[in-house]
Amino acid sequence: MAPKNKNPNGENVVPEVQQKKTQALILKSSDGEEFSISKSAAGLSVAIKNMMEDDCAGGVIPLPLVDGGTLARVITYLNKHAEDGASDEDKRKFDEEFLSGMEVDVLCDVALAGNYLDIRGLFHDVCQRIVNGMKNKSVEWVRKTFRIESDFTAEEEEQIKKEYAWAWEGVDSDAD
Amino acid sequence: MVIIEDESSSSNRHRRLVVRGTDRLSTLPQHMLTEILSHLSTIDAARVSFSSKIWMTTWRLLPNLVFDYSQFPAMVNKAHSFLRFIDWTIAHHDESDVKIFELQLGPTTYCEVSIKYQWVEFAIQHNVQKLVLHGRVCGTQNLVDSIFSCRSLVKLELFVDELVFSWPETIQLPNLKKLKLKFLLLPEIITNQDLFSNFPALEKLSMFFCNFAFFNVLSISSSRLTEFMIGSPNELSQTIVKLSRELFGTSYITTGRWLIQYLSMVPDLPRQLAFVTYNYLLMLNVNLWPVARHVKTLMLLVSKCPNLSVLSINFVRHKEELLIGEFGI
Repeated sequence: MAPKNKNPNGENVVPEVQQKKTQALILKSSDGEEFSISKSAAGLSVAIKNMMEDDCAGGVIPLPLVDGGTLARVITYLNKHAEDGASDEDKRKFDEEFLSGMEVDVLCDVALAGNYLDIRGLFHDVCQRIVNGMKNKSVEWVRKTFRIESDFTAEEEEQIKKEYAWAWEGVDSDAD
Repeated sequence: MVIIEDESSSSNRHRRLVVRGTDRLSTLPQHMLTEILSHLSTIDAARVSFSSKIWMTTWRLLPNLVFDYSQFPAMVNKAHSFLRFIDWTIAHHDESDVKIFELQLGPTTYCEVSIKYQWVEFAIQHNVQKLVLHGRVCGTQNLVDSIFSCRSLVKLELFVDELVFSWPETIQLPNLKKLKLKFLLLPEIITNQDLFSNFPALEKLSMFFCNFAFFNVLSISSSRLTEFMIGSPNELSQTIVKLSRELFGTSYITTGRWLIQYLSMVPDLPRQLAFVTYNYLLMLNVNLWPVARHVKTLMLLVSKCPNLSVLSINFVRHKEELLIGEFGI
């Protein structure tokens, strides 16, 4: 489940960089979990930034399309990218580590959140992570890896294989 | 729940993606699927599109189409399959815009597929912004006329072998910022015509291995040009390249040997340049023969560039021996 800590008041707190940033706001997930985040980190999301400018009452921003687990992940990402003194290289390493631990369903959730919250960098990185599993792979491999069920009829399937035989050539072996 | 299967103890980037349960990916909104597929090469994206109907639909919306012959799998009838692949893609693409359209059909000694006019026409009709044509083509004039009236174009690269390039009478490229030309044969045209005056947005221009042999004067002017490169001076033969005063609004120039050579041949150059200053020029990269006349010409030119900060000089000797010097000013 979502990586999170609780402070003495029982509120969820995402670790790191909290002390330094005095200005904070609360993000509320679809399942009612509340997360504290610095304004500078939250501002990396264009959507949240716009909501901050609209000045939501009490500094609590409800995000009805993002569940708590996903929001925690997104906040971890935002905190790293808002961290003072984190070099681009640090961030790149963090992103790779951060995404490599996620299975596809989680990646989809994070992509949806990245898209909804308009965090281009995160969305882009998730897309990249997903397609890395598709590069130079056979059609069967892609179907198996992503649990895609073919909805072509047997005739269509046969026709595709015949007409576009090249798509079955020169790919990594499926045993890879 | 196990999330990760490590293939080995090596680094995380080799961790394999694992999906459990149902196909979550295909339930994402269409525009996200399009974006995901856009991160793949066109050939890999096509492979994914054969996996199900939703991916096939996504394929038809793909905004970036790069057909690179060298990336296509080696197989019997490769050229034929590749040609059919492009035809098929174009036939199935929906109405949505194509931002990038590239045909990498080179080198022509190896690739048997020629650029088809219909493919380029397809890109133009889909408001292409970046068009790259690298290869061979048959029946050229319509092609050139169409391309040079493509209002959506921002970047254009024409590396077309032995394309006899008649400069179109009407040019409508209001958005073109970057133009690269290679291997073109430019036949005789009205020599006082300023080829690039009809490119109002042009910022970068480069020409390599183009044959200007029939030109008396090649005029280049464009008020927004910031980068200009021209290569292979041999082919310039008797051509004089006239750079308009506006061109020196540019901050970076690389030229072949010809610039100084021809400037040094201009009669009474100091008087001609008397009232000229090239205030914007910051970097100048020139080739010259280390003879007094050329050095004097260069010094005169530099004296007109008060803000020049880097001057690179390649001293060209016989047999293309190079002595390279670089000076900060």
